[in-house]
Amino acid sequence: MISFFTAFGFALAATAPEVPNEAELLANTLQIQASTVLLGDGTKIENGVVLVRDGKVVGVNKDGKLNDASPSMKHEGFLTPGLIACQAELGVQGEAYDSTRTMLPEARMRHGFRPGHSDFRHALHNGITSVVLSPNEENPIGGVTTVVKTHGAKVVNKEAHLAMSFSTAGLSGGGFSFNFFFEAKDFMAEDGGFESTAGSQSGARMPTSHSGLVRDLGSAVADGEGVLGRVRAGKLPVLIEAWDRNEVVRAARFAAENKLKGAIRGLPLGSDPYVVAALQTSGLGAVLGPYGPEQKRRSLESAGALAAQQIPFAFALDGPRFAPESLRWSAVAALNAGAPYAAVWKALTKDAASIAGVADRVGDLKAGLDADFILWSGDPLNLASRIDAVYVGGEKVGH
Amino acid sequence: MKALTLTAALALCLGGLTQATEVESTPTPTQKKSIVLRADHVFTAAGDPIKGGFVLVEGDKIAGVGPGAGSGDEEIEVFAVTPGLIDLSPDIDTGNFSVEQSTEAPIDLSVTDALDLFSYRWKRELKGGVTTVLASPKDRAVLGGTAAVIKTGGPPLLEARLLNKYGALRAAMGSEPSSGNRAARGGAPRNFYTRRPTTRMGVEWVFRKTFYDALANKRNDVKLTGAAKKGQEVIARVMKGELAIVCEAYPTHDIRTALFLKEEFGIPRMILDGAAEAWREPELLKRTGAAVILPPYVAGRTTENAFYALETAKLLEELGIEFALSGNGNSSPLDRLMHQPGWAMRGGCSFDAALEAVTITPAKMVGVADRVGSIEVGKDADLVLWSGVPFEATSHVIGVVLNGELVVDPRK
Repeated sequence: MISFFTAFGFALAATAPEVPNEAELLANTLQIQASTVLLGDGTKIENGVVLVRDGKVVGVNKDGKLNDASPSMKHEGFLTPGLIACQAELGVQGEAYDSTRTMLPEARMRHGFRPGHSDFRHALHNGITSVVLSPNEENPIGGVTTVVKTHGAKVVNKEAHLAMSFSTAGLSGGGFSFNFFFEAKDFMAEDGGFESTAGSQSGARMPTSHSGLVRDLGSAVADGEGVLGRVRAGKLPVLIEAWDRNEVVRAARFAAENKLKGAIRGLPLGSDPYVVAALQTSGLGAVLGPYGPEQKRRSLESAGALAAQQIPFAFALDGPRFAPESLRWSAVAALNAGAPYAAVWKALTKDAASIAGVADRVGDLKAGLDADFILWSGDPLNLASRIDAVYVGGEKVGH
Repeated sequence: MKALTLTAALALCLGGLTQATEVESTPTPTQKKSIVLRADHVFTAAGDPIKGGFVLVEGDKIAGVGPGAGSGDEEIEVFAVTPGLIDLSPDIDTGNFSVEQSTEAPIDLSVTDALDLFSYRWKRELKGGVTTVLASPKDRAVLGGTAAVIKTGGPPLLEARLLNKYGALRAAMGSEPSSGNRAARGGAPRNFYTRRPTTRMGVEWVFRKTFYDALANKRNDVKLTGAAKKGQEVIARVMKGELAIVCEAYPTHDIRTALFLKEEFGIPRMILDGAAEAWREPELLKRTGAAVILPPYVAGRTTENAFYALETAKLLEELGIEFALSGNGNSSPLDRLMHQPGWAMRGGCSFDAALEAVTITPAKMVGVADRVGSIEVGKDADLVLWSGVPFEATSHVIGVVLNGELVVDPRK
C-alpha cells in the first residue's frame, strides 16, 4: 500500500552533501491524522498528525494541519504506539528453561523460539508489536532474554537482560506440600492475597534453599565471565522473577548489594509498602501481571502503588496460557484499581520499552523511532475499543 | 526543514508535559508518650517479684521499674507483667527452602537469607507473648547453618528486627537429616537425596568430619576461600565459645551422641533442642555442661518416639542444668509457649525457674541478655501483660509490648 516509501530518499538525505530535495521528502512522507494521537507518555493530541517516512516516525504535528505536498490518510479514533509485553513466552513452545542445569547464563532465548509460530500473529493482532522473550523462573539463572517484534519475529535486542529467579520454583527444595500448606495459610491469614508459589523440582538440582540461592548467585555475579561479567559491569540489566514478598525483598536486596540494574518480574503483592520501598532502594523496575479475572485487589493496586513512587513498571504476558488480550486486560484492571492513566499507558509503551532496553527503537511516536503504531476505534484503555489497523515499520501488517 | 521544526515542537511539547508527582513523605517519628504499666505483680526475671509495682516505658526502652504507682503519660493497669517471652525453637522457617540440602553441612549459610518476615507466623507468636525467637533452618542437614535471634514484630525488615545474626550454629542428630537420603544405586545419581548420611551413624560421622576437617585445616594453616572460608570462621567462633551449637536431639541416643561430640571436640557451648529424654541422662548433662531446650509438653511420646517425663524441668532445676522451654510454633492453646511454664510447674519445677526458662535463660543462651529477657532499666521494653497469675491454665495474655509499642492493647 505504501509503495512510495523508498529507501532512496532517506539514504540520499543521510549521505549526499547537497540539501535533500524537499519536494521528494514530502512526497515520501505519509501523514496519518487521527481524532486522538496518544503518545508513549500518555499525552493526547486531538487531531494530531503522525508523519512517517521510510519505516520511521518523522514527527508528530500538533496543529492538525495537513501538508498538501504529502500523501495523507485520516482515522476516526486513536493512533498509538504499538504495545510492548515485557515478559512473554511466545513461540517458545514450553522450552523456556533447560532443566539439566540451574545456572545457564550463556543460554540465549533468541535461539529458543520459533519465528513462524502463530503466537506472534495472535499477539500482533492484539496490538502487541514487541515482546521480551525470557527464560522462565525455574532456573536461578535461566539465560539471556531477547526482544523481538511480533511481525516477522525479528530480533530487536539480542541481549536484553539476564533472567534470574528468586522464586521457590527455581529451587530444588522438594518442599512442595509443606510450602503449599504454609503459603495457603498465609494467604488466608491476611486479606486474601495471592502468595502461593510452588517448588516442584524433583531433587536433582541445587541450590535447594533461599540462602543457598543467595550464596550461589552472589558468587556467580562476583566471579562469572561473559554474560555475568557484563551484568557485573552494569552493561546488561537483569530480569528477576520473585513472587512472594520475602522473595521480592531478598531479590531487591541482592540487586542493590551487587549494583544490578533491571526489573523484578512477578510481585503479585507489589502494593505492599515494604515491597515498594525495597524496589525504590534497589532502583529496579517492575513487571506486573498478567492479571486473570481471579486476581485479588491487592495485586491490582500494585501499579498505582508503584506509580506513586515513580517506580517504572510494565506488564507481562507470560506463557501461552494467557491469551494476548490479557496484556491490555491487565492494564485496564490496574487502571480500574486506581493507577493513574498515564502510568498505566506508559507501562504498555514507553516504560515497557525502557525496561526492555529498546527505547531507542520503539515505545513512542518520536522522530527516529520505528513506525510501529496501532489505529484503534477509541481509547485503547477502554476494553470496548477495537483495533482497526496495525502498522509495523510503517507497513500495515494487521487488520 | 519541516521535519526539524516538527521534531523541535514535539520535544517542547513532551518536555512541558513531564509529570511531577509528589513523593510521599516518610512519617517523622513523633515524641512517643511514656507508658506506665501498673500491676498487682511484676515478675522481672531479675530478682524477687514486685507486689503492687509498675514498669515505666519510654521510647523503646524500660525507663523504670519498682514498687508503687509510678507516673507516665499513659496509664494501664493489669494483674501481672512479665518480660516478653523468648522461644529458641519456634519453627518459623520457610520449610525445605530454609536449608541447603546440596551439601550435608552448609555451615557458611545464615538463616537470615532464607526467612519470610511477611509470614503470619510472626504475628501469631507475638500475639502469644513471644517477642524474641531464635530462627533456625529446618533440620534437613546435619549442620544447617547459623540461626539468628530476631524480634517477632516490627517492620518486616532484617535491619529492624535482628538482635543477633549469629545466635547459634544449628545442628541435628537423629533421623531428620538422613531421612529420604539413599545410596546411588539405581535412579538418578545426581539427585541430592543420593547422598550421605542415611543413618544415625552417618549423621554423627558428618558432624565429626566437619569439625575434624575444620580443626585439621586450622592446624595445618590451610588457606581457604569463599564458602569454605566462611564455614571455617563459623567453626572457629564455635570453638572460641562465641557461638553455641543448638543441636536437635530428642531421644536418649541422640542426646548421648551430641554430648559425646561436645566432649570429643571440646565444644564450649552446646544446647540440646527438643531433649525430651534429658531426664534419662542427667549425669552426662551435668558432666558436659550442656544446656537444654525442652519441647512443648505432650503426655508421653514426642518426636522420634522420645518419652517426655513431666518431671524433666524439675530434675534439671534441681541439678542446676540450664534449661529453656519452647513452643515449637504450635498454635493450639495449651501447646503454646505461654503455657509451657505451667506444665513444667505441674511437674514440680519452681515458678521462678519456669519463668526464667522462657525469658532470661534463653536470652543468655543466645547472647542477647543485654537487650532482652528481663525487666530492668535500659533493656528493650518487651513485656507481656497477663489477666491473672502467669502460666496458669486460667490466665491468658491480654497485652504485649514490643520495643515500647503496645502491639496488643489490653483495653481493646
